[in-house]
Amino acid sequence: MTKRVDSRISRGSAELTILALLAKGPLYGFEIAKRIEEDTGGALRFELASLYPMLYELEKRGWLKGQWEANRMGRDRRYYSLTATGRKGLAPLRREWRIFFQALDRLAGVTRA
Amino acid sequence: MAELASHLEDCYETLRAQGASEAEAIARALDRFGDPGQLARGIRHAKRPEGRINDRTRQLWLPGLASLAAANLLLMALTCTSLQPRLVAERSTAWFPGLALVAAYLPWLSSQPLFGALGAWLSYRAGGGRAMRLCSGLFPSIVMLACWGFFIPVSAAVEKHAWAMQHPASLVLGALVWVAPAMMGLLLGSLPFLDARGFRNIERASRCAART
Repeated sequence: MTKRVDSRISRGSAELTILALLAKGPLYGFEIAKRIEEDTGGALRFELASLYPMLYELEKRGWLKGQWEANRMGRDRRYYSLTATGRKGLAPLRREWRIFFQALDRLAGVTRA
Repeated sequence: MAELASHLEDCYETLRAQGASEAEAIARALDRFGDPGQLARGIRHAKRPEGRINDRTRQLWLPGLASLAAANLLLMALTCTSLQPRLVAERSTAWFPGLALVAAYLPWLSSQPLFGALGAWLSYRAGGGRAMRLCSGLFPSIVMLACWGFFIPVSAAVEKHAWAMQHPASLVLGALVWVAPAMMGLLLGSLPFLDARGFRNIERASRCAART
């Protein structure tokens, strides 16, 4: 079983995690949390209390757009999708994280540990 | 609210579908909720339109300055009322000439918890984290420490203050007397606001008491 990542680290990477996930297609809050947990093998898990403020923050910034739609079960859910601004913002964010990981790896040998 | 409720509902139903009992599904869904205070602060912050002042100003500088202003106004008032020449002459004795100063200092010192609480509470209201709340509560002492650690020694050196230059220990003593006890008082007042969960319990209890 994969060990959970410390919440301080996952909080810092939340923006990238959410944007990268929504770049693949629109999802609603519960699906976002579920997909993050599943796709990372349980290493990353967002509590509702940290997920929604982040979604609203990104929406306020204009990177995400939320709209109510019926899901497969016919229930109304608020689907979030990446806007053009968000897509534009994701690329430099990915670059920054890549630089960060490379720097951390040079310093602490993270990938060899 | 509808969105958060539907999230919990989905969470509950998924757990039930995985074979969890009703009680277990409810408990595990609530466990994934996280800190309600963090959620409320986060949503308030995200929904608030961008103002002219940023979060650090709202959560640290304004509460800290309010606490500093209140503490210093009281000190000024006490100094004006207790350290008039007539009173100093009356109160100072041969065995303790600084008695008049103590008469102004002690009431000021005993009021420090109030100012610590004021700074920490204002920061809490603005959504400040624990560090912000602590710094806001201790702000008057941090400023006082800067005065005794930097401004007063520098000014004594620039003005060639003979007595201060000959007795540098007096500066250390001054810093100890004006900073350490006041900081303890401010910390005491800030403590209830440092643990947000604890403070919410106090708020809840006082609301219940008011209702009954």
